[in-house]
Amino acid sequence: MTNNRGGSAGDDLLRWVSEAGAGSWERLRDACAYVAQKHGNERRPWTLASDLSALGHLDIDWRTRSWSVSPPAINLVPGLGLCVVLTGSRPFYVDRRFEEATDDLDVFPFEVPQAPSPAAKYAKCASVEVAERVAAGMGALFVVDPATGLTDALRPVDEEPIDAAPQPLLEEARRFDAVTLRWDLDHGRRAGLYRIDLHGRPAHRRLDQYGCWWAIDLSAGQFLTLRDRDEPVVRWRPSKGDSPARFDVRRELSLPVLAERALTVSSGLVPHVDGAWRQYGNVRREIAERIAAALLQPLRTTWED
Amino acid sequence: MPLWKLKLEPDRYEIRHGDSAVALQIVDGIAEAAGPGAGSVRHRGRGQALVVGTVSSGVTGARRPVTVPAPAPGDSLVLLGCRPGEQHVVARPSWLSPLVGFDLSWKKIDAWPEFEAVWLVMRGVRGRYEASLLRAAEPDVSDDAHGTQWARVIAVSKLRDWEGETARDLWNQYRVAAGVES
Repeated sequence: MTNNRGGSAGDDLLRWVSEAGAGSWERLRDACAYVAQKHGNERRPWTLASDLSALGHLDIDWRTRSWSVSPPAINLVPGLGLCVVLTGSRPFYVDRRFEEATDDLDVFPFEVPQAPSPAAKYAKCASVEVAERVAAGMGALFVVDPATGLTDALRPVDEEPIDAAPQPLLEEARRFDAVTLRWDLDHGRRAGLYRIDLHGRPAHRRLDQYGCWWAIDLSAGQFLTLRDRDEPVVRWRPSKGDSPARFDVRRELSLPVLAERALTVSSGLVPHVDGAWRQYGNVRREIAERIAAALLQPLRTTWED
Repeated sequence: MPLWKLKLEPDRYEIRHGDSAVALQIVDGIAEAAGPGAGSVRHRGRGQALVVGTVSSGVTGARRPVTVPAPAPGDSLVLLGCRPGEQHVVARPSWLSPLVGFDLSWKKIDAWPEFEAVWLVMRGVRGRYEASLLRAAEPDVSDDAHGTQWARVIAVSKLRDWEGETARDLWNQYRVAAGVES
């Protein structure tokens, strides 16, 4: 792994997954730990991989514990003023082709660092046709309005497949509390979502009202638990002055990967955490409505900053 | 020994220790676009949908945007279709400049109307909204359009001076359809 000219841990990891192509979770976890150590990053290694997945660079299958980098794509996103977003694989030669394809009077390339995640790369184009030409010039896919495609594909959390699971050991298990959004040790073996330790890795199980256990994805488990909660956990704010429209989700909650990706690609950036909320910029109301519906949540409009 | 600490440039190197030697080469990269197996993990979505990265297949295709002149900072332009309700407001993403840390300027931007735009309405040099023809299509108005936002935009706008005969005829039809002229 070469030193990525002063890039972040995320830039280094993206370079590595782009060269490696695909592999096992164990190999990716080791690479995450290596770049985290190199950059003095104290976050858990898997959070770096999760950032790459959220940003549309990487796809992880937790069931088979495998991953692959996604092919390079140029995304034309509504509301970015023809600033296309580069996602997917970013090895040295893609970076170089991006520079060559954007070395043009009709194109202005720029990037926004967001350490420890990989920098967001943009190219401001003079027209839709120029954006398409940039994609063709660097051999990348041209994706029009990716957030709409991703939310079209997004399954409601009550349609996510779940598998029957044996009863887990409950001594160290924690139960997700729908009021406080915290994980409590004092669970009393009540129905709900549980976090257990499975071979040193957190896993999630749902105990239904009939006493049956199910293996479930964290985000699906959380939002199924929250479906009757009165206090909103997601909200949308229209654009205001120099602030873009925004989708907020409570910071304690995990989103389905396709929802997370639709939100990040709307601006090309990782979310900003402000108090109790994780905030995603440049999210149109129709995208916010689709995501809230898939999460079985009402969408409240807010005017708060 | 972690070689990255030496910040070696791409080149050929040899590491010696006593009688042992190992040759190595540092390169900028190997993969042209992505390493082997790229795109092999897919997320299965609703129905037949499959997702790799930001690419969704098996879903309804997104509408394609059109390129329009950028309105002045703080101002907006309007795209009008042939039916009442078909209006789409376009403004610059002024929030982007503070985010990237330098001034971005635009001559053209993208617009994503959910209809086929017929008129582009933007402020002229004298400050009045002026309409220019994008596509020749007659108005399609079955009910009274008077009082709709679509009609209000037509009411406060004039046709651009240099528009041709076809545009002038059509603009008059739209003024009548909007209830501005009889």
